[in-house]
Amino acid sequence: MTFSREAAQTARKGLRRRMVASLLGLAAIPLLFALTSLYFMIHEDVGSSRGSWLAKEAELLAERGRVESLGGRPSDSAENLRKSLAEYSKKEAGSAVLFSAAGQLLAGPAGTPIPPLPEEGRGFVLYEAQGREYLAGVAPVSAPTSAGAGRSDRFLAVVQPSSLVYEHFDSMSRKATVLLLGGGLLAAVLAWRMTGRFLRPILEIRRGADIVSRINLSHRIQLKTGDELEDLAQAFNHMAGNLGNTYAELEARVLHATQTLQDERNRLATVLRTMVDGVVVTNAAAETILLNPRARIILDHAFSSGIGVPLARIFPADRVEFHVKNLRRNWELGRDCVEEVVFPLSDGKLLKGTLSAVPGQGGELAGFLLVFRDLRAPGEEGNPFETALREMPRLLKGPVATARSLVETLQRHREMPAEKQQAFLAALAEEADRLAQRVGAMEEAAVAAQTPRWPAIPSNPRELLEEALAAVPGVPAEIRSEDEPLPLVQVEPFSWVAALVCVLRWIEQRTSGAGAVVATLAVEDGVVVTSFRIDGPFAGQSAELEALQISPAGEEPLPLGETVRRNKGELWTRALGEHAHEIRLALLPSTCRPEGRSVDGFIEGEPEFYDFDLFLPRPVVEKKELLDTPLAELEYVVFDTETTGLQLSRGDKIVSISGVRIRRGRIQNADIFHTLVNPGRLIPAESVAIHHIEDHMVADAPGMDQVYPRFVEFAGDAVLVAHNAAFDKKALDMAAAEAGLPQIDNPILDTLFLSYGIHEGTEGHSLDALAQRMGIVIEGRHSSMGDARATAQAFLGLMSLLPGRGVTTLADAKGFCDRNLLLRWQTSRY
Amino acid sequence: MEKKKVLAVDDEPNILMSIEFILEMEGYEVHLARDGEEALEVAERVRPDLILLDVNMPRKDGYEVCRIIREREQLAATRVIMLTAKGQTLEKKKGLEMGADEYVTKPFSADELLAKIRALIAP
Repeated sequence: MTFSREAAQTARKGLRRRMVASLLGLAAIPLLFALTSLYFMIHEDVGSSRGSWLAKEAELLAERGRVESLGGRPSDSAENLRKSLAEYSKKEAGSAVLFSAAGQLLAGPAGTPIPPLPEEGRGFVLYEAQGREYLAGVAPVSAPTSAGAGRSDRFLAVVQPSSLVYEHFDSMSRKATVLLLGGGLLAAVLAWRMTGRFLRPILEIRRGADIVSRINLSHRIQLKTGDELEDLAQAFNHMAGNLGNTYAELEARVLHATQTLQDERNRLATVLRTMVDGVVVTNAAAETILLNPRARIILDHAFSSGIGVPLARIFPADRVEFHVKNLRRNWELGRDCVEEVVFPLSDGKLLKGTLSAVPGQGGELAGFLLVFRDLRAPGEEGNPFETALREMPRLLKGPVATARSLVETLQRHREMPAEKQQAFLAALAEEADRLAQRVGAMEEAAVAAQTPRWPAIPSNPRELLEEALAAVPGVPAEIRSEDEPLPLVQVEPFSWVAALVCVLRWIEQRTSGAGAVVATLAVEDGVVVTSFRIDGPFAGQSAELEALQISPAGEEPLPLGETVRRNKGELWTRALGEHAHEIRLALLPSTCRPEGRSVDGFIEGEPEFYDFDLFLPRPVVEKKELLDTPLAELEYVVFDTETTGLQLSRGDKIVSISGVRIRRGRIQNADIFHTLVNPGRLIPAESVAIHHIEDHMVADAPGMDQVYPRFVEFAGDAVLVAHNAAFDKKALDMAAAEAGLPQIDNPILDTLFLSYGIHEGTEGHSLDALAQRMGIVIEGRHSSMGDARATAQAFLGLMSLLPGRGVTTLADAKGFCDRNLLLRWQTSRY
Repeated sequence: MEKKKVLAVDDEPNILMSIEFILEMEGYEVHLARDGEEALEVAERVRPDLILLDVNMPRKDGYEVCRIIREREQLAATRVIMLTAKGQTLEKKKGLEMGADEYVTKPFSADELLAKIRALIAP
């Protein structure tokens, strides 16, 4: 509806011109045919009547000549004839001539062309002579000697040029043509005006449509022509009406959505304002889009907004880059996207917190969320070292005083009885022990206060080593490690990788790039040792190693030895024979499980405040009403499991389970359940090849007996959905039996059977085929989370097609699934 | 028979005094050093059969002393016992790999220390 007024104008002109041309054409073409044939008919009639008249004249002249010749002498008669011919020729428009049958002029004006003889020797002829057309009436003349009936050899002709004959007719025709042209012009003008009458309603409709499209959706076209054009106008009005309604609906929804968004924003603002932790939200490019007041205070950003500043400019750049890179990689792999971070600032503050990836509406990486607090700031619990220090004089004075008095007594009374002396010595030992105990506590507090609390997290030593090797490409190293899965180590990943990188750079420098380095990871005497073996000349002094400086961007440099010890590690070198050296870094294996992480992958006690759907009241649907509830109003949990194999009844177990919630017809990306599960048995290689979950990954994961109740809790009253649900349900039921818990009895829908029913006759109902048909991209196929998400999307797609099959309630959907199950079963028998 | 020579290195004089007394009672010839530098000097001079080496010392720590001793041919036969703090698995590993023959965690009992020394060298 965006054509311009000019275009409309030319369109109208074009239409009008075409209508006039067609009308005139319709009238003019038969008229022209008729007039042309009339012209020729009259032309011929005029010729023949004039010819007849000329013939009659010739007869009369011939008769007169014969009468005269009967009464006079032949010579006289010939003379008389000649005279009368001359007279006639003078008087009449034509010239009379006498000629012989051989075409010889006998009498009459000379130069008159002799006509050819008509048939039977009389009548009229049209002929051409000397380039002109003539009409002649011919009559035979009887010779005076033979007056009776005999064969005549002389003829009389009255000749006229045909131009003279048609002169009158032609002038009349010209007048008629002029009149006709005038009439035609008049008709054209009339037609032009008449088409205007047809066009006006069309223009009216166009103008109306224009108003509707541009200005006013409630405008209606007023047209009373009583014909199809009025119908057209009505149709337009109807369309405008529908458009108006849709628009109004849309506007209402936009308004509602805006309101909801505003509410969410207000809630977010409130949550952020009142949070005791600093919060920084960034976009996907890690540029700040929001800082809460606490973050401003901690970062001394009180007077500048800090908005739009890259995270790496606010916090130590290398650390930010390290963690953001990890998060992006984990996001790609569909893993947990929370990093524990520690940021030492140049002003002495030490920030500790978590950096996590924030999913967007479409499940994409929308940004990052950093929540942190300043460890150096006095917390509510106070500084334990200071507390201990304050308490210490009181605690130490007692034992010291007692010990001194005991010693003095012993020195003074050397003659003391042996048993008394023993008692004194025992008391002294007791006081020494007490003293040692209190000093020990003091030392602990001091160590804790002096050594910044690096947030050590269980990490995979191999991944850390790989990361370091990738950062120093100049060292041609390969990793050799034991086949058995390595235990996790408890380190602060960034500084540990920085330490490894520092060692590798040193090796690079001291070997001048010559000689191969072999990196080995091994568990020796319960210690995880990373060692770099250098074969060939090595100019490095082991004494240097400790003092090497690690200086990441935006941080104070720290010696390598100190960095390693802050990670509770040790570092040393040893010579292996004459020409080989080894630099070794040892760490204790992680004994504790990941802290504070619940089975669904989120930190416990931390609200998911970026999904405010959680604030909205959950619609309560009674179980008995559940079956009659429209499908769109129900809540669903779409889930998927990965297992050690497909033989559930022969001992295959769940290794991973994920669930996605669908509420109000939308996938709730933040309301998910995801965990690895320790199956309590080895995972066969062929299964690892499918889901890439290996034994060491589930070593620290909770068992299904712990996960199952959590999943049941997550599912709540929601309808369960799975692709090929029979398998996943069986896996759940077996887990329930093992945990000694009742089976989950929520209604279950199966996307496999829904697909059978809806895409009847189509081949392929696997999750892959279904996803391809519906244009769904599965991110992380054969990861339980990826499959659950894809199944959820497929389910929403299938659900939109169900009303077309008369399926609107849960009961209908269950029937629909069962029918297709039965059908499949029956056909499979043949 | 000549007495076996033991060099005890620690920065705590009272501990040294105590060790000296215990070992002399057992019939060892005891030499003392207060720090890493002194330990190397004394070891060079007296060629001890065994060195009791505290890990945490000023002027060259125990590991460093151990490394240097292992580099010297004339001290190749010298046995080294490291004195480490309690429960330091990594320190033990590091000490043994840097050339120590045995370790004793502090605080130690006289019996434990004597047993470990006896296992390496008879008095």
